[in-house]
Amino acid sequence: MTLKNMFKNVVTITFVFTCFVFVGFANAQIEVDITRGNVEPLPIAITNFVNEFPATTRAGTLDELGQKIAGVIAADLYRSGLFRPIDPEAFISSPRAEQVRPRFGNWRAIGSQALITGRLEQESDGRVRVEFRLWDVFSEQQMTGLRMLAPSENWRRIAHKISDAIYARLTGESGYFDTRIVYISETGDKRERIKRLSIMDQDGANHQYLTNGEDLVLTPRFSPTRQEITYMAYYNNTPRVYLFNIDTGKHEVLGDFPNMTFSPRFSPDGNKVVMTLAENGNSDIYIMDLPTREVTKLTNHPGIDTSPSFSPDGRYVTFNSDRGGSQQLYVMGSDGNNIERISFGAGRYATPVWSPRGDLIAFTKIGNGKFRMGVMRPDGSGERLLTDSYQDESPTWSPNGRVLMFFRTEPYDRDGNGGGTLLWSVDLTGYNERRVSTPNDGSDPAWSPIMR
Amino acid sequence: MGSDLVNELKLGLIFSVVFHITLVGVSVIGIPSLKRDFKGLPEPIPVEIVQIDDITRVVEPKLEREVAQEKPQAKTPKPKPAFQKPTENLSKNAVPLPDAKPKEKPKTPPKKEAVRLKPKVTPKPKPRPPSKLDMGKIAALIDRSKPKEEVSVAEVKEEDVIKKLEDAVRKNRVNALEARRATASLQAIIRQKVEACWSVPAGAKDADDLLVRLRISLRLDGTLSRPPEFLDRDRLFEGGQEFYRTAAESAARAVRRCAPYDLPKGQYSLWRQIDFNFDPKEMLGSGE
Repeated sequence: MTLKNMFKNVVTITFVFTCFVFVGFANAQIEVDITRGNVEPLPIAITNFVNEFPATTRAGTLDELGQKIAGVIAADLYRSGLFRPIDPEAFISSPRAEQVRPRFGNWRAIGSQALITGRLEQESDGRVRVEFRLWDVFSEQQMTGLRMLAPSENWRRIAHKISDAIYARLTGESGYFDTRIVYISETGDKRERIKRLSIMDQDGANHQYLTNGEDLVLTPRFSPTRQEITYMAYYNNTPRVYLFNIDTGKHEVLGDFPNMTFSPRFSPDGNKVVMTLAENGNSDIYIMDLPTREVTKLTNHPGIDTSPSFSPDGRYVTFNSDRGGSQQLYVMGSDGNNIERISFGAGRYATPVWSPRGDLIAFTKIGNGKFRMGVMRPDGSGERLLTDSYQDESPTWSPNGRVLMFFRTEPYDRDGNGGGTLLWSVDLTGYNERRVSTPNDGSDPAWSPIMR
Repeated sequence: MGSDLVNELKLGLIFSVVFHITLVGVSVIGIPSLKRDFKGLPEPIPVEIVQIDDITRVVEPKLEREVAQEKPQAKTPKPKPAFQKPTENLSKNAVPLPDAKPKEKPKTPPKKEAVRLKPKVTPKPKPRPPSKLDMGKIAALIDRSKPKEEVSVAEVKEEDVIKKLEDAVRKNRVNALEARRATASLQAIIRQKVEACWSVPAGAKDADDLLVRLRISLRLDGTLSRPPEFLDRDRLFEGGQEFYRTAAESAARAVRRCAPYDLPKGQYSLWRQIDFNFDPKEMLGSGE
């Protein structure tokens, strides 16, 4: 009897143990690797900004402004190529109803993944108070929200700032919408072009001429820290590097060098300018300390060294040189030591520009009868060409290092028409290529840092 | 009276000692070897051959057949000493084990998908080491623990027990294979679905390091029973991890957007909880 029991016990226990062992396996949960996805732009719904107390500001009624602000945000996000604003016609909910807590089901139903709601009111001092919220339609949570107070005339900047906040929250990197572009506006006959230094918002709005076109101006460059521009102008047929302060409107000669000066560019801290000086037919790279105006020679080679550009940490300078036989890209320490060639592909390379993000150097590649925009890593690896047109030149980076602006020259046709130059932008994917609207032809664009 | 009590106590003691030894023995020798045996199954490689179509083809059915065929023969020769001894001298009327098995086996190979095996995939005919079967060891243990006199009573039982155990093992093995197949199939369905729902965060820097591990828990109706759970949650809140946060949020949006998950209810135990590894590396191209 006891033995029987004992045996039973043993059996039961063994059995139970066996079961446990296998139960463990049977319950193993599923693990799924997701390595592919959708690269379509993110669908986003941007509602008109509403107001509770209708008023008329100097820039229009609050209703109008609310609509315009939503429009500018939608246009900003759309041009980035990363977002697809949903046509407001498709909205199920009215913007006004969504202020407190959106009915997210209505937004999921139209395929939206993110939602922007906002409102604006006029303050007693005439300024407008604008606030917005960005919602994750799936987790039904607010991702970010901001409130701003500004004169109503500045509504475009408010809209750009909101775009920047949304972009930053959804992509993880800073935006570039509240920025400006300086460039050379070109008008008139091909042989006698009138070139004027011009400035506009990144989206082409608020266009202004900064010079009157009497002198030839070239290569404007934004200071990375101040609302300042360097540019070259021919004054009495002598090229000089100028410094222009946007806030004060003051032009200042940086240096009156006896020799030719080219391609000035600021250091990341805005306190130095690196440039090319030509002396006795030989071009070398120099650096000028702005407070002291002291000039140091960085390269000393019989080849032509030109187009210098600082790395964002200020420790390196990239430039191009024909010292190796053909025009190629080089990197050196910002003290002029350790010069290393980084480009080795077929063709020539020109105008290297270090990305503000530090991870890439943009350049113009010349070969196969074309000028194309490209990028490579600072060690020369990972070369990619982003455009494939007839003639693209002079890349400039958006402050977040995701977009390049450049100018494109149209080929001449049989009747001798063409040759016009227009501003274009392309992002790092190479797919999102867009025309930048300017009132006239344009060349030599330079992107400002984010405005404060 | 007194001697009876002593006897009782002795019996109790013997019982206790034997019981504990058995318990320890089973847990130390028996179970691990069961486990080893289980692991010894050549890994089916479901993921590679899964094309995303309706039916998932998995490699192992053939292997299973092999296991099935092999087992009866393999069983008999080797464990004979340990295993068959009791059967031999104890019972002639007991159902012979080897016969019983082949009858059952043919039923077990999976019905539908087994046939659709791709001929390309030849399972390695790596025969499992002729069953150094756990059973043998367990049987041996059981054997040793058994007093010789009480033969006839325990004997039938043991027979039953061994059969039961073997059935359990076999069933589990089959279950495991079925589970694997089901898992592979579910993985394919889920992957296809979620990939379509995922908007990859564009242009992030350091794409190499943006693997997002995410766990979801599902109700039987396929809806999320709670918010997706980030398995590397701490990283979300670290400074300088904006790209990671973006990637993580995009992953969470994807699994939410895909809900409800219309998966076979019968396999709920398999998909009640799903772990995802979202890796944008291939999409972003590292550093480019």
